[in-house]
Amino acid sequence: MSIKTSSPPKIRKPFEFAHDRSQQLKDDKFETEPIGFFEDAMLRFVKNKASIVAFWLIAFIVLMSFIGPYMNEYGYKDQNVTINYMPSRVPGLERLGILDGSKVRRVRYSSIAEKYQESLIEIVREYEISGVRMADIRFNDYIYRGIADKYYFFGTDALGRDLWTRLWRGVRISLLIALIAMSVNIFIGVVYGAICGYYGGTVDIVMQRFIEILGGVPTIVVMILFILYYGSGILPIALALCLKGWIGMSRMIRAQFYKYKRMEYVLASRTLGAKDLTLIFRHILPNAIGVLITMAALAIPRAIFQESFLAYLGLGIQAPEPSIGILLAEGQKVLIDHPHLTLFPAILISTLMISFNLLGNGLRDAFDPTLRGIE
Amino acid sequence: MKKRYSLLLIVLTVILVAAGCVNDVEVAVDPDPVDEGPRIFRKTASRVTTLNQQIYETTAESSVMRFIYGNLLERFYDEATDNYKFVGFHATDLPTRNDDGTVWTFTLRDGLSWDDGTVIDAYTYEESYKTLLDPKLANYRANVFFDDVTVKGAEAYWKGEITDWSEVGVKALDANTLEFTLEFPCPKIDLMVAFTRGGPTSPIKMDLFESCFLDEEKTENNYGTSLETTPSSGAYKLVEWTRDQFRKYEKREDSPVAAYYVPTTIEERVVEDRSARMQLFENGDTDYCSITGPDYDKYQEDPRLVFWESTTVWSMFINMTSEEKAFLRDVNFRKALYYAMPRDIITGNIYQTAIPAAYIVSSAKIADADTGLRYRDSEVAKAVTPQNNGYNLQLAQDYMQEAFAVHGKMVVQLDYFDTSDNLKRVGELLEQEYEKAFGTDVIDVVLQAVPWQTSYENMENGTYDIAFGGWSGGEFNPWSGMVVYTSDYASKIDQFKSEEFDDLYDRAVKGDLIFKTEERLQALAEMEQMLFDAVPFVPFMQTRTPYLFSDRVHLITGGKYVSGVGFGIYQSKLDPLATE
Repeated sequence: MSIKTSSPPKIRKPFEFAHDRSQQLKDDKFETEPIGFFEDAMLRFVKNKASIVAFWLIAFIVLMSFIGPYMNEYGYKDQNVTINYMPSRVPGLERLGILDGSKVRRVRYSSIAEKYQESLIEIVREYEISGVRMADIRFNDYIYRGIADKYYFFGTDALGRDLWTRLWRGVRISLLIALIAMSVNIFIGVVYGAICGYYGGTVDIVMQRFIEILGGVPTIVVMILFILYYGSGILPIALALCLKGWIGMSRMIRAQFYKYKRMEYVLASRTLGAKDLTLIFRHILPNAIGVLITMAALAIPRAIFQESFLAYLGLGIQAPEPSIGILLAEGQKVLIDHPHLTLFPAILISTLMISFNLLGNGLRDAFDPTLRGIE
Repeated sequence: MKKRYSLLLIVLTVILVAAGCVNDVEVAVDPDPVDEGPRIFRKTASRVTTLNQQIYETTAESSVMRFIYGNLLERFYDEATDNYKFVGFHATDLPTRNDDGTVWTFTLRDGLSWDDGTVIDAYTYEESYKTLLDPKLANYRANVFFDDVTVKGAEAYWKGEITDWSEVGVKALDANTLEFTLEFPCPKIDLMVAFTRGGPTSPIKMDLFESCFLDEEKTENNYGTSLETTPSSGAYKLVEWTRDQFRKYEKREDSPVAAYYVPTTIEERVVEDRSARMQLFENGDTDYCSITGPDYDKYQEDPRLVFWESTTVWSMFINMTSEEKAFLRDVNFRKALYYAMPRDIITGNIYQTAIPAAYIVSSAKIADADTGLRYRDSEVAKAVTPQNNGYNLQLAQDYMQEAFAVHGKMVVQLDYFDTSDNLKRVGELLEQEYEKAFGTDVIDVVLQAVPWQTSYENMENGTYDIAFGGWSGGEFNPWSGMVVYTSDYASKIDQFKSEEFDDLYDRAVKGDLIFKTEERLQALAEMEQMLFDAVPFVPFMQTRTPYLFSDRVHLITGGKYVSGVGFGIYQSKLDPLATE
């Protein structure tokens, strides 16, 4: 068997420069401005229309919580029991037949002429009970009670207090409780999570077991016992919401620390002699800022919801201070006959909850590094 | 002929005298015949834990026992007198007593039986009471024999201080005769009330009870906790019991008082929620329901509306022995709160159906059992009752100024029950009204929500400033209700202590005033006056509950509330259900 060999073709210059030596090799100049982390997040956030609407709604509600209580002459605890349970009445809208201060009442037919002649709007239904002629009538309660010149936008409560004023003040207090709860949760969660994540090992194991034990205790029971012991003021309720509220935050922060603590830049900094606190708070924690902001935005509606839940159980803040939960708890007991007491707080808390959640989702997407530069 | 007329005159006189004497305290007579055919009465009720009459705790449990457990006597509405009357139930007649009122004797009917046919006689009763007072069982309801009616040796036996049952003043002399020996004389009405309606003094079905012990030491028992362990000695038999859902009772036609009860069947749905109860009534599924404040607006002109008066008077208690705040010890401060209390606003605008009460003894309490005279209608009570529902702002301001001159600005904490919306509203109202009446530079009222159990504990321990509380009690003995204000009362929630008051109480309840009607009434007024003078609490409201009855219930009282029997619901004519 013979093997045929052939010599390779002769190449004069096996390698050539891709560019001519006369050409100047250089990077392209960026046409766009350099963009930072937060700027990038903001760019993506503003493209999320739902989040923007939610942001403005929250801003409006927060603003109203400060100026709303002063938009009329009624104080949040000014009582007038002779005009309790007044329906809502709004100038302008009353001409359209909505929020016009009217309500339906079951009366004896003979009472229509005696008591309701001036305030009667219409007879809804006529019937008999035990041989007595009865009627359901729609009447203007403001005229009936002799305050035709008054306007209570959201009506009045059982003690004749203006619900508009109380609701906006209640929003302020609910937000305050949520803010305190969120701040404390973030502080404890960040410190606890950072220590767990940074040091790891035995420290992490022990601290995580503690969290698991704490997590096993029913939240509601702990909160109720806490409030029963310390009383139901703004601060005790806010702190009750923190008893276990920081656990989720700490886990999230711990995960961030596990992710970043072995990065080369951290190793480099450590090699250069940076102390633990510097590494934790200067080099690693800033990476979790996006998570922190998102969690904070989502923690606020949760705190408002939990405060409302406690108020439902009769563990709300002290009278006569209102909160959204207190107002809802009071309103739901008379929902059928006086729906305005539930309707307005319910609309407001729903708006707040949806808005905060949309905002939180928007922030989460905006801070998500995997989406960076995509849009 | 003349002899015959004389004889007739004597007989008529005797009859008239007898009729005058018994008035509303009558012996059993044949009641009016009731409609024939099945009649189902449908109602809502609350959960019950036990139907063991020795340890029950709630009103709901008491209501069930009223149907299924018999007693020596029973109380009914009497159309003839438009009042209550006592009749013999297991007893043939009302009890008789010896001269000094310490020995009382009941004669039992023949042929009494449990629903399974087991005989009930005087020995059953004695054995039941021996069990009730058994020190090993430590029955909560045993106090019925050492409270208003103090049976000789009963408390000592219950505490284990004596072990010989023969030393206790309960004896079955024979199968039909039951005798009670008391430590102190006792008014007839108190004794009759103690042995009326199903409850602690009802008989126990001993063979069933013995089989219900859960341990060898015989300290734990599940008698009355299921259909199988709940017998009937009363007018009705419990035939269905789905725990926390439904109960059904069938009338026992062989009961001695069966003719008084109209419903042949009573059905109870367990519904705790007020709105759900209201809805069931509106849908025609139940025959009556109560109405609370917020719903009253809707039904205030309803022709079916009737009002149930309560013996409960709510007050604002003041810690008059406070060590921390001297102004609470100042009677001027307490009187200022009393006279500035806006009772009309509280009852008219917050509770809507309640009665303003500047007094201590409820208007539902009866002072004279024979005539049915209510204490508040008596002249002596009227004499001590403050005018204008106790509201006098000028006087209140004068008192407060005197207190202010001594103590300066007063900051007082008002505790309200965290589960009561109405008391919370009262607290909020008082904060505003007191601060408006006296000025915020004089008084600062701080509100504090407290669980009602904690609030009562604080009051008992004297660790509070001002707090709400209420006492109720039996309708027939306003004197014994005063026990809660005596110095040594175990669950005392006020801080009032007066030897003079205690002495007067002892005389009226256990002493020389028992059978002296006028003096006893006067003593009650004096006790009330002492409390007015010291102001350990500020009474403000007597509850009154509106009820609605369906059109098929024709109340025998015509909707009028009659002390002792209410509306006579189960004596009232009942139309058949459409499906009956």
